[in-house]
This record gives sequence, structure tokens and C-alpha cells, in this order.
Amino acid sequence: MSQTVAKNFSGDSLTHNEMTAIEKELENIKELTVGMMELVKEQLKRSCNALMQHDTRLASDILRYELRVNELELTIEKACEQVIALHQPVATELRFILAVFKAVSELERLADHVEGIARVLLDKEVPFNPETLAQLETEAMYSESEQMFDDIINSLNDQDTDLARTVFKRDKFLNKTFKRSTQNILEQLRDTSDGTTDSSELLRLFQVLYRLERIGDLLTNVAELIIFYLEAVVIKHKKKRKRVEKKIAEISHNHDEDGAEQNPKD
Amino acid sequence: MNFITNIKKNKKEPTEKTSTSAIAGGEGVHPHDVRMETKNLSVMYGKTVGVKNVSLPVYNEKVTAFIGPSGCGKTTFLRALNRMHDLTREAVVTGEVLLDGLDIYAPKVNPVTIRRKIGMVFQKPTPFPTMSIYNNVVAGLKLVGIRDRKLLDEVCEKALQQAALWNEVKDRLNTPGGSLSGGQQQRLSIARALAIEPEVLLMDEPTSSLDPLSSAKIEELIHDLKTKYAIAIVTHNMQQAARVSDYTAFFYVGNLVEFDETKKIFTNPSNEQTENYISGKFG
Repeated sequence: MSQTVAKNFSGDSLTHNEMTAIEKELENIKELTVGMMELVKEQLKRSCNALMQHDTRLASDILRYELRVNELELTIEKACEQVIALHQPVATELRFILAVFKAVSELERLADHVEGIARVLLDKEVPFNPETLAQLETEAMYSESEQMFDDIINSLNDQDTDLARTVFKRDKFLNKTFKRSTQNILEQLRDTSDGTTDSSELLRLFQVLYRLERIGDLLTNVAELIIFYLEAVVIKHKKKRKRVEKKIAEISHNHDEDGAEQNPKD
Repeated sequence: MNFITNIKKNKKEPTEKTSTSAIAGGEGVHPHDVRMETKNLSVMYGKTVGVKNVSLPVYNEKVTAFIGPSGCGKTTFLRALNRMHDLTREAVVTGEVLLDGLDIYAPKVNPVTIRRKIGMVFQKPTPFPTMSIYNNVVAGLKLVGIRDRKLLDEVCEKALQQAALWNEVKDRLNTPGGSLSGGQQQRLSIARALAIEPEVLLMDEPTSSLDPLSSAKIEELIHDLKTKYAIAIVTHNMQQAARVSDYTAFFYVGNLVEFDETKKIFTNPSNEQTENYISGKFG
């Protein structure tokens, strides 16, 4: 733990011993949360290496460490509950607790997806075809997801919301890559003329890529929570709302045009 | 951990000039909702400035809490709202305090008349200990010459009911006020303040000398009373301010630092000083 961790009202730097009781509790929760983020990121790395090298030992390690992720989730939730009950945090401190409480749940779900990838690997007896993995941009998706993790951890540590916002761009990259890869899989499944298509492998890889795309969504949620904690703004659902409103307007417009064609005025 | 200092780059720095600049204003508040208002109100004791140039509204049917560390001027400000400083020789009040648009410090205004319109409840319960519960409640009315027994009976019952004390004392109205518990005495003080049918109710730390159960009763009472009165309350208890008030004003060394809706103050205050205070970083 760093020695200089806070400043008081006069702007004096404080060591851990000089912190108030609630500051110590919050510092502890922050350390546990960053620890959980790093553990889940490590799980993601393991699954990448296990996939690329068909390393079933690494895949089984993921199942083992998943239990630790679940334990951490409960530990952090309990610590948040105690801070609320005993210290009645307000303003920034309250937002921090609310953000962490939700973020650890997102991280746990994220770790479940990594575990799901590990189970796909453990079910497969032979390695994935390296050429297919490259075609489907699997490694690029992993790399982007890991980068998202780094951005989130650094944004929390440095209280940098600009860094948290870079996660949104990276998620867009993941979404586009997943769309491209899914198209690629569909084309390969349709074209079975040369008899070399391994449908089973493609479907398994689809599962992996789908989970990576979902991991991107969950990391985006965590980034939104960090922004909520630091800036007191809620950006959740805003983009989706705009998309839905646009879609509804399009449908309504088309419907009006169809109606006009079917019932032309005299 | 830098929970506060590093992330408040966008928040206002503390300023000496506060007054109206500290008022963020809540949504949905209209000018006609203002029951009391101060304009550039300052209170000085000799050379010491207790309150500096504060402009602040007190809304009708709302509770406004004044918070801040000891010596910040919140009680001085509250007492200026019903001319309590008139009784202190060294005190000088400048600026305006408007009740329904009229300045209560205007030359021809009688402070007694003002105090009938602006009731006050103090930190410690203030019953007349040997006077009966009944006479405690109607003391203000008797003081202005009202002797009609039927009217006094009606006012007494109504005030005690409003103060949520009627059911506990209706069978012993002739026993001394001093025989009641601390919480009951404070509600008796509130009943006495309500008996004169004020427009505004000022409360100076009304629960600081009470146990949690009695405090909870007073807080519930404040919730009920705000449907009829404009209430201003000074409190050191941050959770109490958050629970009972609709608006909160944060004072520091005589300045009004921030005034806004309570839910805004306690979730995302605009000023760093406010955040530090409500988070227990100082004070």
C-alpha cells in the first residue's frame, strides 16, 4: 500500500495511519476490487494461451481460480455492506461503494464467460486449427479485451475517466470483429463443397467468440460504473436509447409509407 | 485514497464571496413557493462577523436544513430569521429578511408580532417546569391577552395533536410540564410554538439532547408539519439533515458555501468544501 494515499481538507497528504476509519475501509475495498480485476484479467490471459496452445492444464486452472473469483465477489460485497451500515457514506464515497458493488457482480459474470471458454477447450480433444483461429481474428479479440482490462484498472487507480472512455471504443472494435468473424463462420458452414469444413470446430469457436464479445460488453459496464463514481454521471443505456428511438422512427416511417401505398388518396 | 481531492477538478473552489452564488436551486421550485428570504444578510457581534452576506430562500411546505461545523454561523443565521439578535446588545444585523416579501427588520415592524409568525424551537426543551402542560401550550396566546377558555381548549388540543403529544398527555393536562420526559418536553415546546399558529417554524438542533427514539419521533413530526409550514432546522447530525430536509444550506466560517436540494447535496455536491464536510473530513 502506498504511504501517501489521501489529502485532507487543507490539502495535506495523509499516510494510511492518518486516514479516517471510512477512508481505510474504502482503500481496502479498492485494493480488493483492483485485485479481483487483475485476477479475472489473468483468467482471460490463461484462456487465450490455453486456446492457442491447446493447453488443457491451463484450462483446468481457470476452473480452479474461478472459485477464488467467486470468493472475492462475496468478500467485496460484504465489505461494501459493512461500510454502508457502519459509516453511512455520502457523495463520492457513496458512489464509489455503489459502483464497486455493481462492478464486482459484472466481473463475476465476466469470469463465468472465461470459465465457459475453458469448458469449450476441455471438451475438445484436438487443438483448434491455427489457420481458422487466425481467420476468425481470435487473438485480436483477446488482445483488445486484455487492453480493456488494463484501461479499466488504470482508470480506477489513476481516477482517469478519459481512460475509462477508451473502453467504449475498444468495445466497438470487439463488436465489429465479432460480426465479421460470425459472417466468416456462416460462409464456411454454407460452403462444404470441398469436404474440409469442420462444422463442430466452427461452432465451438463461435461460442468462444460470442463469450469474448460479451466480455467486452461487461467491461464496458464496469467502465460506465467508474465514470459514475468519478463524475456522478449515468451514461448507461443512453446510446441504446438513441438507437432504439431511431429504429422505432424508421419502422414508423416505413409503416406510414406502406399505408400510403395501400390506401392512395382519391 | 484520493476519493475526493483528486476528482473535484470540476468543482467550485471555496470562495469568500458566497451569498447567492452558492445557490444552485432545485428543479420545480417557483418564486411563489418562497415563504422567507434573506438578502445579503450579515450578522456582526462587535468586530466579529458571524454571518457574511447570505442570501437564501426558505420554501413553503419544505424543510430547509442548515449544516456546518461549530461556529460556522448557522445558528446565528437562524436566530436572525426571527430577530432574536435584537436582545443582544453587541449584535448588528444588516441586509434584509423578508417574510412573504416584507422586511421583518423594517423600522415600524414589532418583533413580538414577527415572533408570532415565526415560531422557534430550541436545542433544549424549554417548558415552564411548574406550569401545567395546558398552560405551557397556551402561554403565548395568554401573553397576548386571549382568555376565551373554549378557544384556548381548542388551540391546546390542536397544537398537542400536531406535536404528536395529545394521546400521551390528554388525561393529565394539569400536571406540570416538567414532569414529562425529555422527548415529550421537546414536543411540548413544539406544541407551544405551533399554538400561536406561525407561518414559519425555526428549529435549533431540536433533537440534540434527546435519545434516538425521541429524536425519531421529532423527525416524524417534522415530516408531518412540513405540509403546513415552512421549516428551517439547524442540525449537527448529517443523517438527520439528509432524512428530514428537502433543501440543505452548508455554512462555513460565516459564509453560505452551498445551497441546493438535499438529495443533490448528499449525492453530488457542487462544492469541495461541502463534500469534505458531509463526508466527515473536517468539522
